[in-house]
Amino acid sequence: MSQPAVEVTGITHRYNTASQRPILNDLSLSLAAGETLALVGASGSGKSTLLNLIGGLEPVQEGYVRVFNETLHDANNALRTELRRSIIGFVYQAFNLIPTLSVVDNIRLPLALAGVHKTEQDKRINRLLDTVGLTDKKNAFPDVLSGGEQQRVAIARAVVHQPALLLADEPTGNLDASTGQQVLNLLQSLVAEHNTTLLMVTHSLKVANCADRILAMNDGQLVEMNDNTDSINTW
Amino acid sequence: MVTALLFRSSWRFHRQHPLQLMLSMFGIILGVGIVTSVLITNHSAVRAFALSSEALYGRATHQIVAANAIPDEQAALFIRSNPSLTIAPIVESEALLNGTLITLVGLDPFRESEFARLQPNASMSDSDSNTQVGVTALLDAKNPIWASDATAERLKLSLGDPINMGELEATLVGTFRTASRAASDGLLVTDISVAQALSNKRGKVDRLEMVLSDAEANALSTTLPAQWRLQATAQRQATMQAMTKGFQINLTAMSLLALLVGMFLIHNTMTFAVLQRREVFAVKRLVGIPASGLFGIVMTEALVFSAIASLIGLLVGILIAQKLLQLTTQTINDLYFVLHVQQIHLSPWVLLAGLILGIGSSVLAATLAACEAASGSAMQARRRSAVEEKTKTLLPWLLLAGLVFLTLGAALAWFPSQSLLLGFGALMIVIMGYGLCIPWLSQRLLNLLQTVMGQTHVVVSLALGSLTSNMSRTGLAIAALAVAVSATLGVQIMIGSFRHSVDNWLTQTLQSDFYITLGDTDGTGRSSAGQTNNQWLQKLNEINGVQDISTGLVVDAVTNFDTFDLLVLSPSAISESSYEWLDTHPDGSWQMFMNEQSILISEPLANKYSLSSGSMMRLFTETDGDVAFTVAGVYRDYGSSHGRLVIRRSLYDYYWNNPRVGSIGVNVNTAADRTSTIAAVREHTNQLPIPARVRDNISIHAESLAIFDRTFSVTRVLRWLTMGVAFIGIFSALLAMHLERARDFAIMQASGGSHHQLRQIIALQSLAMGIAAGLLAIPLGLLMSEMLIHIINVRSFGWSMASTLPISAIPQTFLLALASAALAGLYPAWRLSRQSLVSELRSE
Repeated sequence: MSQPAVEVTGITHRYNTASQRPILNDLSLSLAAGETLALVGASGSGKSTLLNLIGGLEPVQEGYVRVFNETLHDANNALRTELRRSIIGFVYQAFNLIPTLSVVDNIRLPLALAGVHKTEQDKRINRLLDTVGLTDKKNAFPDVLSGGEQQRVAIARAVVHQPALLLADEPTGNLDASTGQQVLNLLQSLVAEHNTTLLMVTHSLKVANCADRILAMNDGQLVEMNDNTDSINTW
Repeated sequence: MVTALLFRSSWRFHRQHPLQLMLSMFGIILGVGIVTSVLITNHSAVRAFALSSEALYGRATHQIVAANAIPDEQAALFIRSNPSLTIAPIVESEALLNGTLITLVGLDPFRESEFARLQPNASMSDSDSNTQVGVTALLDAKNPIWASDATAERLKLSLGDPINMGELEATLVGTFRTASRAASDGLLVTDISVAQALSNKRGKVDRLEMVLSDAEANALSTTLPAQWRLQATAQRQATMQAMTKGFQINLTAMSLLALLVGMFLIHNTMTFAVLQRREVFAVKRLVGIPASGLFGIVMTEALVFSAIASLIGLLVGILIAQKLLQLTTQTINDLYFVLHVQQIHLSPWVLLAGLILGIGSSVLAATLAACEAASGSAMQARRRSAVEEKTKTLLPWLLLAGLVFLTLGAALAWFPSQSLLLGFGALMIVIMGYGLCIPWLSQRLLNLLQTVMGQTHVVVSLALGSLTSNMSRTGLAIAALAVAVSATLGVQIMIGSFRHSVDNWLTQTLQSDFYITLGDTDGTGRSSAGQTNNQWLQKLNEINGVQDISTGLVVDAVTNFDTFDLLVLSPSAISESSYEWLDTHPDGSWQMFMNEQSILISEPLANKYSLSSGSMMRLFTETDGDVAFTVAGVYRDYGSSHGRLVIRRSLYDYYWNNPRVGSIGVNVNTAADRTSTIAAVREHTNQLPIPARVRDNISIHAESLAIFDRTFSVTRVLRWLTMGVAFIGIFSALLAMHLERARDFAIMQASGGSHHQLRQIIALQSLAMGIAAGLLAIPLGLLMSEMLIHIINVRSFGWSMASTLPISAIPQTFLLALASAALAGLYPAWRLSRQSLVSELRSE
């Protein structure tokens, strides 16, 4: 059996004081390479925290996290940065584009930070702009774009450095049904094209149904999925 | 209700950004502190002058003065002839006591009661309980002296202590008090005869003071002999105060510059505070709050914060004033007249002025930010790029406005006027004009840097790109730093040029190899002079190695314009070469000076009264009263900003009866041995019955430059305080800018940017801003120095000078800007590297 892309073992995570109830409580999870997993659950159930720990945005407090054979639980800041630069991409509900950088420069950011040669940068960016359908708006600034367009830029930025793992936190949460579907299709096609592992947090059943596997979270733990989960809505 | 909600929202915002608020307030505090300290210092000096005048003159309304003091017998005759008038003879001199400059007043204790000079607590009567020793002691003790309580305490004098002044030793026999302790600080009082002996003014009194009604004064003025002059005490005081006006305006202008830099800072902070809340403001407007409401909120915030900061600023001002006062008093003593100021005088009006200036400038600086909050559509206000687009559109207009200001400033600067205030107005307009051009120029410079260096490394590209796309923030920060740094350059060049000119002038003026100063110097540089005889001078001239000698005496000369220092010169063969002529007479200035009834006048005097060679000036002589003299030439002189006259000894002796000599210049034969010649000169000088000091021209040169440096200490302090305000400005601007962009930095980190790269970006941005500010500060600094040298200095002091650019000044300025910006970037870099990525990415 091949090594899992993401392996989370017994992680517990708290915000603020130790007396507080943990946001993640002895949670374990495994994700195969190329697999698409949807994580659903009520607000505050710990979905985004799990995503942030796997993405190395926050240090692991207890337990083990391994991403493509790289251990994150004992990784220092520099190593976590290196992992984000090389094998992890992020898509956020709020797009998180830099408002003072144009579309093309926002997409260029991970490549520039990784020191990719300019010619190579331009080649990859142009191809992606074409894929996400924003070639004609490449010099526009994010705040003049629609929500769907902004999310397409965010997705292009998340995959431009060809990460092996894509983490998406409510990628369609801020979009209407039709735009959300378009964005989801784009995400799926890009993931499929590069055999990228996708871990996606969502409230939407439709979005979750696109995944190979769905897991639900409740009170910091993974629970069995049932059809009556309140947190899942439709768009 | 709605207003309360809005204020609650504002309060919460500022509570969440305490550091930003603190820095903004700190800028106001320092700005107000500097202005207030200068206002307090100036007021204290004026007040001290008034108090000491009160102590010296008491109820005296008029005084009679003569061209060369009043002989005792003439004074006594006048007093006897006018029994109905209240008259008191006075001898006044300055002296150094234990290294401290004091004023010694000799008076007639039996005539003091009418003048209330040291009243109400210190009369010279035996029975007065406030006077520890009375008339008996005055009559019994040998050379008795009284010191004011304040003087005795400061100089640690005890009753019975010997006091060495001049040729005699006096004894402290008592102390006195005046209504105001400060009024009598630095004051010693004694009997006229003792004062005459101590100050080497035997047989003469300086003035006769009187309490006269207007009618009595009018009647008296017509009966006075031609050699005497009646003048109102108030007029004399006003003249003396007017002498320091230029200096005080200079200090005030320097402090206002600090406030101007502070205004940049306030505007910067308020603008940031508005920009940070642009979405909040947009939402507020979406729910129906009118634009005027938002305008009102921002203005109220500015009012409240500036009021609090200004109040604290007043306290800081009082603290700074304590230190500044010492430096200012020293400068006034060095340049103008003796003033004893030991404590600051707080006036409610001065404090109110500081408060109004602080609040007014802050509110004015916040107006643009308030307009920003109230303007534009609600949706547009939410867009970050809209702000930058608007800024980009605004930059050419700011440039245009700046050019208009610069033109206006230049027109005002070259407007034919001697008004110092107009000169400073022009300078301020030029600074503001250039400041308005800076954001546009910065953008061009940063674009150029981006083009040249952007390709070198991704971090450089990101850093510079981010700066140019955030001009709403960076432009202001660069402008604030550039203006402050340019001020330091401008003042540095001005002081440097001044020093260079003084240095050259001293080299030219001090032509003799040695100078003998006769009598005691009183600490103001003026010798009490001494009686020499021609035989002694002849022998000095005959010493082996001495080529020839010149003599000089500085006395007060009353003229038809004012009272000036008059140098009585008996020139040597090389004396002519010690004068640099600025305006010569067609018949030859020196020739005319040596042969005609003429005088030489210094540049400040010529400038102040529009005199030139050929003009006539009336001098109040001892023998003939008012006599007209032709101005033979105008010479360069940095010795007195009030003005100075030179008269040849033979002409002076014709109109005055004062054979004393204050100093002697000794020229050594080039072939002679300097060491043995000076030894012989010293030996010969030791034979004189009066104190004398022999110094070579090098040590006088060095001493004079040291005094020059001392007079500019206060300017240097103000310059660095201004720089301090600017540093806080750039620090707060960088901090606000980086904190506002914390989310952008978090996105960069999430996209693979390392802490190291982040720190590099911030460091590069700080450096780039420093480079822009440093480069842009240089032209403004040079412009400021030219205006300071050729307009402000001439109008303040009457001195012209050539601009000298010290080689190190430009790189120093550039490095100062760079270092300030780099230093200011350290904390934001450290803080950002510790930020929580997740919370920044979550925040919207």
